[in-house]
This record gives sequence, C-alpha cells and structure tokens, in this order.
Amino acid sequence: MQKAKSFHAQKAVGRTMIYLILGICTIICILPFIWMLLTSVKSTAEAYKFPPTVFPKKWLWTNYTNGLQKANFPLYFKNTAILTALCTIGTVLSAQYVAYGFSRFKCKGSKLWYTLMLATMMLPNQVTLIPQYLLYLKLGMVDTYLPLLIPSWLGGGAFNIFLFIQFFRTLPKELDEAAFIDGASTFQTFVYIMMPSVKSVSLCVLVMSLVYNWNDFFTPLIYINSTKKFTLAIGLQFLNSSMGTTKIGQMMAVAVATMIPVLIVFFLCQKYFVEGIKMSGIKD
Amino acid sequence: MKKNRSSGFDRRNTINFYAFIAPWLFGFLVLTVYPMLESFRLSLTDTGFTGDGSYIGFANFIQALSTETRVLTAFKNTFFYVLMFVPLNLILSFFLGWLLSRKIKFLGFFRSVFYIPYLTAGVAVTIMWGWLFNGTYGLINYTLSLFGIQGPNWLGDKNTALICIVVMNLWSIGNNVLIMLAGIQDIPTSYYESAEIDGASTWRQIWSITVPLSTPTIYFNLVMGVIGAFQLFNQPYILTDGGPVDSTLTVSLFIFRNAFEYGKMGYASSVAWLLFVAIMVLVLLIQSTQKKWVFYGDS
Amino acid sequence: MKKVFVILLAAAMLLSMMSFASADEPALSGKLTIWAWGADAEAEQRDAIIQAFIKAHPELEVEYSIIPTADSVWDQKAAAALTSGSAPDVIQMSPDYFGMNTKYYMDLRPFVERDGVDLDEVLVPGMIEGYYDTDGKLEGFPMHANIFCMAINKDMFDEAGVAYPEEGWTLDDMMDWGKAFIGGEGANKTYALAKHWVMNAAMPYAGGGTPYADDLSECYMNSPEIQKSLELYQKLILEGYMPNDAESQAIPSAILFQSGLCAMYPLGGFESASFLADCEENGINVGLVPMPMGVGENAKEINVIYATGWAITTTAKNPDAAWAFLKENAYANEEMGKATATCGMPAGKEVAENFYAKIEYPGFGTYFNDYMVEHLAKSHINPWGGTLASTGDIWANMVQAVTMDGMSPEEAMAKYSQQCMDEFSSYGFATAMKAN
Repeated sequence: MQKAKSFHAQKAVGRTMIYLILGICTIICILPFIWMLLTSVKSTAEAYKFPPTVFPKKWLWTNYTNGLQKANFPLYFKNTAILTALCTIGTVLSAQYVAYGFSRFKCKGSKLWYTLMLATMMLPNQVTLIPQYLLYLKLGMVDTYLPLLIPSWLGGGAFNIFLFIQFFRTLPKELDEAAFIDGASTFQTFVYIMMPSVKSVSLCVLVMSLVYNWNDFFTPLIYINSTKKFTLAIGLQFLNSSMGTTKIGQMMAVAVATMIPVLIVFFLCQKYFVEGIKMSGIKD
Repeated sequence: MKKNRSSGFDRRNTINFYAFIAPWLFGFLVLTVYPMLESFRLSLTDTGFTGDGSYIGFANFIQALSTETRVLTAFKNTFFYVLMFVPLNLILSFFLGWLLSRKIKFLGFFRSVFYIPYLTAGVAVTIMWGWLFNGTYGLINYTLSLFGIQGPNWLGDKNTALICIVVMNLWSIGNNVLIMLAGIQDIPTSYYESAEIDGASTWRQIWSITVPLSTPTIYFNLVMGVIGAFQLFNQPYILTDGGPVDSTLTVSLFIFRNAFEYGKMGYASSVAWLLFVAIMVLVLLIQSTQKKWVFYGDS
Repeated sequence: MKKVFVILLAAAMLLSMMSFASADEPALSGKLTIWAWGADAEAEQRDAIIQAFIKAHPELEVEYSIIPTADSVWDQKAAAALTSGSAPDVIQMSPDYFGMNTKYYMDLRPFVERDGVDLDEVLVPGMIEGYYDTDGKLEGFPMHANIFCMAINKDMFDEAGVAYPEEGWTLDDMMDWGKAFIGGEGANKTYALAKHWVMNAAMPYAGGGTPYADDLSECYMNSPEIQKSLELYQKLILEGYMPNDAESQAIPSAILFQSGLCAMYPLGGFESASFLADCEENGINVGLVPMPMGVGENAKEINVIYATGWAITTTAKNPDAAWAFLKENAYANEEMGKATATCGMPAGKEVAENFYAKIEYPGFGTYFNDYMVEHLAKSHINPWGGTLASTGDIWANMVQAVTMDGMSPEEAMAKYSQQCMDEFSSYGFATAMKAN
C-alpha cells in the first residue's frame, strides 16, 4: 500500500516535470516571435535602448506601412504566391505520377533506377549547382522562373516520390487489375483510380511543398536577377543587406508579414501537416 | 504460348515503367548525372562567369588543399557545425519526442508550438535571430543580465558566432521532434506493459525499449541531418557574411562566393567536389555501422 | 531686301542645323530599360533622376528597377544578368569596378564624338577619368561622386575640453586627445570615432601609403606603410577609440553617433541630408571638420571617393535612348542634374557650381558641399570596388586578425600580405599593365 502510494507520488512528480519542461520549451519557441512583434512597432531610438522596454511607448504602426512599401511587398508577394503555387502543383502531380511507375511496374533495371532515385536524396546540392547554373545560362533561362519550376515538374524531389511509393504499395493490386479488365488504359487507371486513392498523401505533400517553396531562399538567390521578379525571401534579404539594423522596426515588420501566409496555411491545414510528419518518419 | 504472353506482359511493364518514371529520369540525367560529371570537368578548368575556360589540370585542387588556407578554415568550421548540430539535434528531438509521447494533455497545442519555428524557418526568422543575439540590445543578453551575467557579443564574437547558428537551427528542429514522436508512438504498448510487470523503471524502459525500437528513425534523421548540416549556407550568408575572422565561413558559402561573386566557377567546382567526397565518406562510415546498432523490428 | 536676305539666310541656317541635328541625333523611340542600386535616400535620388528623364522624354517607354543594396549582392546580380544576357539597356556602375564587366559595356567614345562635345567643358574636373579603361575605352558616364568629411559632436568635444580638429589632423594626434571620449560600459560605452563601413576602404591610406599603384600596375599590400595602417587600425580598436566589429554590429554606427555615444562620424555625401536631419531630431549639436591626414611624409588625406555612373550594355536594344539618358544625367538636363545633387556632387559643371555648391544645410551653410568640391582631388577612389573586392576581403581578414584575433600587425602581414599580392596578380589587368 505504502509502496503504491509513493509510486503514484513519483508519477505525479514525473508528470509535473514533463509539463515544466514542455512549458519552458513553449516559451523558448514563442518568445522570439513575441519579441519580434514588439520590436516591429518600436521606433529605432526605442529599439536601441538599454534596458529594453517591453511594450513600446508609442506603437509605431507606420513601420508596417513604410516597411512594406520599401520592401515592394505587394509585388513580391504576388510573385512568391504564383511561383509557390506552380511549384507545388508540379510537385504533387509529378511526384505521384513517377511514384506510380516505380511502385507498380517491375522490369529489368527497375530496381536499379529505384536505388538511384533514393540515392539522390544523399547528394549535396553544391556538386550539381554550378553546372546546372551554366546549363540554364546557356539555355537563356537565368532570370526566369524556369530553373525554379522545372525540378518541381520532374518528380519534385526523391523524398516526395518516396512518400507516394510507400503509399501506393499499400494499395491492393486488384484495384489496377480491375480497371485494366474494364478496358482502362494505364494512364486512365492512374488518373481515375490511383490519384483519388492517394488524395491524403497528395494533401500532405501539397502543404509541405507549399511551405518549402514559400521559404526557399537559395534557388531564387542564384537564378533571379531582376528586382521585379524577386520573391519575398530575396526581397527581404536585400532590404536587410541595405538597411540592416538601422531601421530595425521596419525590418521586423516586413519579416512578420512574410511569415503570416505560412502560419495561415498551417492553422487551416494542420491535420495534413501532422499526417505528413507521420509519413516522413517511415523506416525503410 | 505461355512464354509469349509473359514476354508481352514484360514488354508492357517495361513500357509503362519508363513512361511513368520518364519525368524523373529526364531530370535525373539532365539535372543530376550530367551536372555531376560536368562539375568534375569544370573543376579541372579555370572557367569564369560565362562558362568558358581552359584545362589547368589539378591546379584548382592543389590551390584548395595547399595554398588557400580559407578552404581548410571553411571545412573546419563546417565539421565543427556538423559535430555540434547533428548529435544535439538527435538527442533533443528524441527527448522532446519522448516527452510528447507521454499521453499528455494539450498534445495538439505543444505539437503546433514546436512545429511553428520549423515552418517559418527562412530569411525572416534568421533576421529575427540576428536581433535576439544582438550583443548590447538583444533579448538574450538582456535576459542574462537579469541574472547578473554579462553575455558575449554572440554573432560578433569569433568564439560564439558559429554556436549561435547551431542554437538557431536547434530552435527549428520541431519537424524532427514530431518525426521522433511518430516513431515512438508506433512502438506497440504491449512491450511497455510487459516491462512494467517486470518492474522496470521508466529510465530502464527508455533504454531497453524506446531507444532500440526508435533506432531506424534515429538512423534516418542522422543521415539526413549530416547531409543537411554539411550544406549550411543561409545564416552565415545573411547574418555574418562568414565572419568574424572567417569563423562562420562554411564550405557552401565559400563555394557560393567563388562561383557567383568572384566568378571562379572552375575553382568553386573543385571545392564542391571536395565537399561531396567528404560527405560521402562520412555517410558510408555511418552506413557501415548501421548493422551494429540499428534495430529493424522483425529481423 | 537686305533684311529679307538675312532672314532667308537665317532660316536656311536653321533648317540646315535642324537637319544636321536630326542626322546626328536620331529621334528617340521605343523602350528603355534601366537598373540602378541604392537604398533609402539613394533610391529616392535614382528614382527622381529617372522620373525627370521620363518627363523630358514622353516618347520613350522607360522601365526601371532600383535594387536596394550596393554591396556584393549587387555585384553578383549584375554580373549574372550581364553574362546571361538579361541585362537592361542602362546599368549603374562605378569607376572603381576596374574592368569588372568591361566586355559587357559599350564603348561610349563614338557617342561623345558624334555629339562633338568637349567633356572637359561640361563636366566637373576629375569626374570622367575613372571611367576610361586601361585601353582607353570609355566604359561608363558619371552620375555623381562623393567623399567624406568628419561629423563631430560639438557638445562632447566641449564637455571634454577638446578643441575641434582642424585641417591636417592625423589619427596619431587623435591617440592623444581622443582618450577623453572613451568611457562607460555596455550600452553606455562611448567612443571617439564611429566604425563606419568606409573605414575598411579608407584605412589602407592611414599609414601614408596606398594599397596599389593608381594605374594598377603594382600592388603594395606588403609595404611598411600598409603595416603602419594596420598598426593604427589595431590601436584605434584595441584601445577603445573605435568600436570593434562585434560592438559595431550591436548598434549601427550612425545611431551610435546620434545617441551621443560617439564623438566623431565619417559622413558620406550620399547620406548627409538624412544623417543631419536625424541628428537634429536627436538633439545632437553637429559640427563638420575635414577628414584626417595619413601619417608620414608623402601622406594624403584619408578619404575615399565613391563615384557612380551609368554604362550602356552591349546587349542594349535601344542604345540611342540609353545614351540620351547618360548624357542628360551628366550634363544636358538641368532637372536630372538637380535631382542628382541630393545624394552627391553631380557630374555636370553647371549644376555642380551653380546649384550643388549653393545647397545650404541648416547650421552649416554651404560648408558641406564646398568641402566636397575642394577635397575631391585630395581623395582616393574606393580601393576595393568590383574586381578588387576579393583583395579587399583579404584586407578585411587582416584587420579582423589584428583587432579580434590577437595577432600582431607583423604576424598578420606575414600571413596575409602575400595572399593579397597573389590575388592582385591574378586579375588580368595587373599583368596587362605590367606588359605595357
């Protein structure tokens, strides 16, 4: 009896510890954002004050209007939105198209291609970066969105293909065979039978690729040169390199604004993010 | 007759296979295989901005490995970062993943909280961290000053700058935490139940059940983490420009500067190949140890 | 009769002149694309210049973009655009780029010849020289030039009982009286001199030498004068006259001065208007004095010229309209010249003398712009522009090595000066000049 009680007490202590640690982690995760929001409405003079004020003396909302205008926000927002949409659609469609091939048709060499496809996950960008750039340069595609779009429409990366393959494998072969017997072509089977069956994976890949493309910095940095074609990530970095911390409030205001769309997508589609994470953990 | 049918079946399979993987195959050949070979060819030339150059043998490699000390610095920094970030990432994400798996209340809330830093990771968050790490006016040093601690200049100090980057990247490992969580949740509860009957402590359960059964997830995160960490670019580029005193100069930043700022495409390619070899050696090393510690359920 | 004859003659002359003019200066039409860099005040200036041009040429469809930066990010984007053939007709450039993109720029001499203009007559002396390549090609055309003067916080000087520096003062002098400004801790730490980003470009001249020969034939980064510069730089920072890189990262140098934490700030012509306005807002009592001199016998003023202008790209689709833009900005369009004057000394003699030199800043009269005109010839062109940036990066490493890494100037020279020499000789122009 005594033993059981101490066991329960121990458990309670353990529970409290868990919540304590998680609470601290929550603060660590959220506090930087709050600080950023507060800085975004401070004047430069107030931001550079020690000890810092928590709430601004004067809420300088003009940091948002001035900052967003200086950052050319509406235009870059539009560019980023279009680009992200096109990349995401490409990734979702082409990844499952390719995955269907890998998971359903076996032939001589199919295993080798599969291994090679998985191996590309381990290839560092840098080793292909320069020749890719020179290739796009020769094709006259530098300073267009094509170098950013093309890879998404060619399978959208090994990882996404892999996710779809895992899912296709769980679908019974009878599904395809029934359609085939009904006289459907392979392509029709894919479009009418398979694509609807992997809708949940599609949605997960969709939300994840949406976020990835929205945040992508390196590819547009390399390929986009004209200001009018900039994405938000590049526009923000240019603003940062030119005014740095001299107008810290405005800088933070623009940074906040670029994050908001991602957060909105997250809160609307939380379910698919969680599903997606579960699938990413697949052990093979 | 039978044989014929099966060969017809094979042919149709082959056609279908290639018809479906064609987009990937095209991308693989044009955007991966060709660039890899071309990258090696370029590394033997003095190619500039425009892509024209002449062969200079192994001069680039000789320069990178002997005369230019910055390459060595860049590799040292990158290795340091990998050695700091990857293990901490694994330990932290396992630990937090385990905490979240403890049938707690508000799981959904905590999951979102951990995931948001990962989601927003990009230029905006990097700039935010630059401000938090400000040596005089930053939140971090202010908090430390409340405890009477005089914080360093963080990003401005060659001894702490790279550590700051480790910290900001650890802040956004929420994705790995949740992957670990999913892995841990997949472990059948029956294992724990029998351990409980045997009177094993929580600590003991973690070591003999949770850790071994999570090794595949850990292994996956380890390999992907190493490859990702070797390519560190954004924060050094945006916040420190490789400084102070080259303390955050990473191999990726070095390659970028030489290729796209100084226009030394050939030289940059040779350094990219050195990076590639370094990563492959490390990944193969990890893979060779895999059998010893990664535990695949049934086998 | 005579009168009629005169009128006829005049009419004939006018006609022939008109036809002459139209033969020489084709009517402009079509589209013109322009790229510029610049943030804040500079961006506004570029915008005003281009707007003035648009106003004068309604027949042209002008498309332009201003990239809010001027550092290596611009160099990278510009180089990428030029090599990929996606460059605009007119692109901003600097005379300190030293042949960086020379094969992508049109030679402007034929345009100048066609117009038959004597450039010496219309441009401020010293404005155009830097735009000629080593082989005589005219690569670009000037917009404006800027140098620095020293802004001082008069109240800090008065409180410390230190006399305002006078023409000819040196950094060696400052090691003496500058001590009065050093004090405090953390957010209250005070300094004598702000670490403006220009310091890395200006300091090589502090020891009385130069980093390389003006004609680029020789590099002097291993000279005793450079070592002297490095010693001075180290002293400035280690003894607290100037914040080190880490401290200056915590607070932008202009804000340091405007918070009353720093007695002196090197003030560039491109930032003067907004800087002085911000000082007034923060109640800083500003005075302007000349930049210091280098030490040693042959020393010159420690001052750097940042000049900028425009080039026409070889891929330009509308070179005639591009040339009209260049020359009108430089001398042929008063509106454009006046718009230029907000951020620097305009290239056109007329505007520079009759407009720019007369701009008054409240409290300083015309001192600032007079100073610019007078000291331009005493200054060096930014040594680390464009192609030379990679040598500048090594110099920056030397500076960090002695100021943050505990290296002695001798050790830093031993470790890095040969790297500078090698890097310098790897540029094509150095060997080309030697061969000449």
